Parts: sequence; structure tokens; C-alpha cells
Amino acid sequence: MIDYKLLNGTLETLMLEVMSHGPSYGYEIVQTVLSRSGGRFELKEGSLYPALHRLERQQLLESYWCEVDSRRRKYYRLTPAGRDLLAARRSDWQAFAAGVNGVLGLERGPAFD
Amino acid sequence: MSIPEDLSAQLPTPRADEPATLRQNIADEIADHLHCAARREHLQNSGSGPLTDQAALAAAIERFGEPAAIARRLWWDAMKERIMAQRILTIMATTAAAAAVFACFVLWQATQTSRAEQTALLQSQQSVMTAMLAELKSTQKADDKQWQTLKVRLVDEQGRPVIGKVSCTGQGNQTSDSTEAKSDGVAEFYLPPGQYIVGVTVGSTMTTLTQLLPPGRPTTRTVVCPGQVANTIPLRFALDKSNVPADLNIYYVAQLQLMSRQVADQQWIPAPFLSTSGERYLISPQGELIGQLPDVPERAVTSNSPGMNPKAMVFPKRIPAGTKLRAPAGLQRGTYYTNVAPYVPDPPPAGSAELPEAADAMPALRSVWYPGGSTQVIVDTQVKDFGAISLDEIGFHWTNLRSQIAAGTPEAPYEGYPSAPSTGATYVQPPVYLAPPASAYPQPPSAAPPSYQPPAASVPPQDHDNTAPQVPPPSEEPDKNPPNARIYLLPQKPD
Repeated sequence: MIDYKLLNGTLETLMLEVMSHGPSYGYEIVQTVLSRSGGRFELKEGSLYPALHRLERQQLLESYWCEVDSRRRKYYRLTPAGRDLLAARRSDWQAFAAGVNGVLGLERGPAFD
Repeated sequence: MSIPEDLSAQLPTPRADEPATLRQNIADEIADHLHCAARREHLQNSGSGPLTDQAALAAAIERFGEPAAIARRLWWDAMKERIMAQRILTIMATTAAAAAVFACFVLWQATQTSRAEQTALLQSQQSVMTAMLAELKSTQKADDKQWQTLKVRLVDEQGRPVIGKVSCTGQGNQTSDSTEAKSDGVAEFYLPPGQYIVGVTVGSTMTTLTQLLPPGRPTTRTVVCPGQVANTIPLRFALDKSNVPADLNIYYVAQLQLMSRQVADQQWIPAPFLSTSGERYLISPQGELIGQLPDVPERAVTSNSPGMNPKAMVFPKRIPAGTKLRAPAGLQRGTYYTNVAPYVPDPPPAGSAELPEAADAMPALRSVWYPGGSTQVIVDTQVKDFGAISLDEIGFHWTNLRSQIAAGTPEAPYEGYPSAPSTGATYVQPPVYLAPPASAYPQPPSAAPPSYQPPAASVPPQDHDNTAPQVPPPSEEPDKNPPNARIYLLPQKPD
């Protein structure tokens, strides 16, 4: 089990990354992050929604509703501003991770495997 | 299990500014997640036996967290800005209200302070004014002790009160006041001490006296006045007729104008604007003052005497015969300025006996009564009860008349008149007409002196008020206007 304190500040980047491949909804985003992290990032699912709503108010995401199995489902997708921010976060993270890996002697650490 | 409905119930009280779909959207999103998570639980546990929906949902909630808390968090995040803005607005409004209240309080306090200051200022001013008033009153009281009452009591020679006007004029203190003495005869003044000229006007006469008003002592001054009731005395004129025929029994008119009157120790004179030019009295041929003649309107005459510029003159109209005398035969004591002239009335109407018939003694001398032909004497009844009239001093008219009588013939109309022999006044040419038509006047009684003949009617009588006195034309009928026509004089009718 990883220390989730390390995820502080990266959760939004992960959500933006998930939605960079297409519109998605809350449960799917949680499952995608869990799947793509190899089961390492098992988030408290409820904590995802405040972050999604915050990104939406910041106009990094936009949403729309669809009818699925007689239920209403809210989909999110990246706005151009969200896409730009995601690109910037990617660069930052690469620089940050390279720095940390360099210090730790993990130039090709497991995070990049 | 209906999660959205439960979640809606868990959310805060709906607000007026809340979006209509906010609650439903939050509930639907969380419900969709829980449905998906419950299905996942079902799928994950399909190998170990089916889960009940309740258990699957409980497992999903276990992974999700408290749905109500998450829903409230989302609702709060969505409404936070509005709520905070409203709160800020409320705080600002409250602050503004508080500031307004505080400002009102400060203003009220300032007003109270100002009012207190103004009250204190007013009180201080009031105290100053009170002090000044007290000082003024004390000064006035001091003055009041000095000012005194001056009573002027007007009485007649019998001690009865007299109505009159009284004035006081201070000498040096510029104080002047006037009032009226009513039926009690008392005029009261309140004056500062000093010397005063007291003026008293009673009827048409006035006098002045000096009165000292000493400080701290009321003063009463009694003034004996002429009184309102005529206090007449019989008057007789001494006629010096040495230069006129003894049988010239004509009446006279004396215009007596008061010059001064001594009452007690006070000299009274005619009051300005109140006195008249005098009253006219009828005097008998023996010099007795018979009575007062009524006022006669004046008439304007323009002189066209040869060699003189025309000028206006004012003469009293002649007194119609038959006019009643209106005053007792007497005068109040006093010094009078007197004009005396022969009395020649208009022709008396038939049956008239009010005026003496002897007044018709000079029917031909129609215009003898005028100021220029009169004498002026002083009648001082204070000293003696008679006036002296010397016909010798009466002037050119009498001179003329005397010469006519002496010559026994009427003179022709005057071409020029001499200066006054004794008074030195300049006389205006009087037209003297002689010998009016006999038909115009009653024939003399048989008792007429034989030395005089009735006048021949030659020149018609002409009134003196003609604006252009006409000189009688030369007679065209010598038999009717003989050159030696005589003045016809009637003797006085015996009483």
C-alpha cells in the first residue's frame, strides 16, 4: 500500500489524463486510475467528485448528462484549458520525477516500467 | 433503496439563490456511482455466492465514503461562492447599518453635545442679559426717583376747570411732551427734572409760562385761563366828530382783533393757526357797541385805477340791511386791534328793521367800508372800558366826505387820491359814487334836515365788486344829476 500523501497534488493530473482520451464519468475515472496504476492507487471514491466539480468550476472540464439504464449519468471532458494544463503538468511531472529519480538513483524506476 | 431521495433530505435547507437542478444533479451523480459500484460488488462476489443488493450497496458505500457527507460537500462547493458573497454582502450591509447606527449615534451625541453647549451658551447669555436687565432696572429706578409728575391745572377766573391743550418743552434736556386737559382741567406729565416752557392753548388763545420741575418732588401748576364762557363788558367808543357835521349820525363798523388778553398774571395772545382776523361789531353814532355782525364772505376786486397796475384786492361784502346781530353788545377784556369804518349797508328790504334804520344815513356812499378807508386804533379794555375813535384820523375817505359836505356839492369822481394823512399807508383808489337814482332808495322821511336835499338819480348804483370799477360817465342828463347835488344824510332814528 503506497503512502497517499505522495498523491497530494497529482490526483487532478491523473483525472485530467484519464479524460484526455475521451469523455468519462466518476466511477469510470476511478476504475481507470485503479486499473492503469496496477491497483496501486485505490482512491476513496467519494473524494473524486469534489475534485471533478472543482475542475469544472475552473473551466478545465466541462460536463453533460446522458441517460444510461434509466439513470442519469454525468460525463466530463477536457476543455482546451484543461488540455493545456495537462500538458504543463506532464512536463512538470517529468522534470520532477527525473529529479527525484536522479537523486534516488532510479533513472528508470518502476514508475516508468 | 432510493439513494437520491435520501441524499436530498440530507442536504442543507434549500436556498432562494440555489440553482434548481443542483440537488438533483448531485444526487443523480452519486446514485449512478453507487449503482455502478454495487454492480461491481455483485460481479466481484459472484463466485462466493450472490450478494444481496443491500450488502452490495453497503460495500459500495464502504469504498465511496459517506454519501450524505459527500453530497453536502458538493452542495457546499457549488454554493460556497454565493453563500460567501451573500455573507459578505450581509456583513457589509450589517457593517454599513452598524456604521449608520454608529454615525447616527455620533450625530445624536454631537447634537446632544451641541444642544448642551447651546443651552449652556443660552444660559450664560441669559445670565448676562438678566444681569444687564437688573442693572438697567436699577438705573431706571434711580432715574425714576428723579423723574417726577408735573400737573398743569387749567381753571378760569372763577376757579372752574377749563379744557385746553398743554405742552411742555424742556430747556436743555430736549424733552418735549404735550397732552390735553380734559373736563377736569388737569394735564399730567412725567418728566425729568429741569426748567420747562409750558404752553397752554385755550380756545383760540394761548400763553406760555416757565415752570421749574425740581428732582424728587411732584409739582402742580395752576394756570388761570380766559375761560370758555364769554366774559363781556360793555364798550363805548368815544367818537371825535369835531371835523364832521354834527348831524352826521351814521353807524360804524369796528373790526376788533384780539392782540392780547391779561388773565390773572398771565398774558394771552391769539394762538397760531387758530385765531381769526377778528369780529366785526356795529357801533352806534354815539359810539356804543351794539352787537356783532355776522361773517360776510369776502369778494375779490381787481383795481384798474389810472396810473396803477391792476391788482387784486379782497374786500368783505357789504352787509345787507336787515341782517341780525348775533352777539351781545360787549367784549371780553383784552387789547384789540381795531379797524373802524362807517357802516353803509345795502338798501334795506322793505319792512326790514333788524339793523338800525339810521344806517341808511348814507345811501349814496355805497362803498365806504373797506380797509383803506378805515382808521386803526387800539381798544384796550384792560385799561379802560372805551375806545377812542377820532374821525379826523379816519383817512382820505373821510377827508373826501368832509370836503363834499363842506362844499355842499358832490365831488367829481376822484382822479387820484392823496396819501393817507396820518397812517402813512398806501391806499387803493376807492370808487365813490354819489347820487344814486332816487328810485333805488326810499325817500327820506320828512324829518330830514332841510339842509340836505335828496340826491338826484343820475348815476346808477354800482357794486364795488366789479372787477373793473367804472367811473361814472359824465351826466348826459344834467337835470337828473346836477353838479351841485348834495349828499343826503338821514338823522338817527330816536330810540
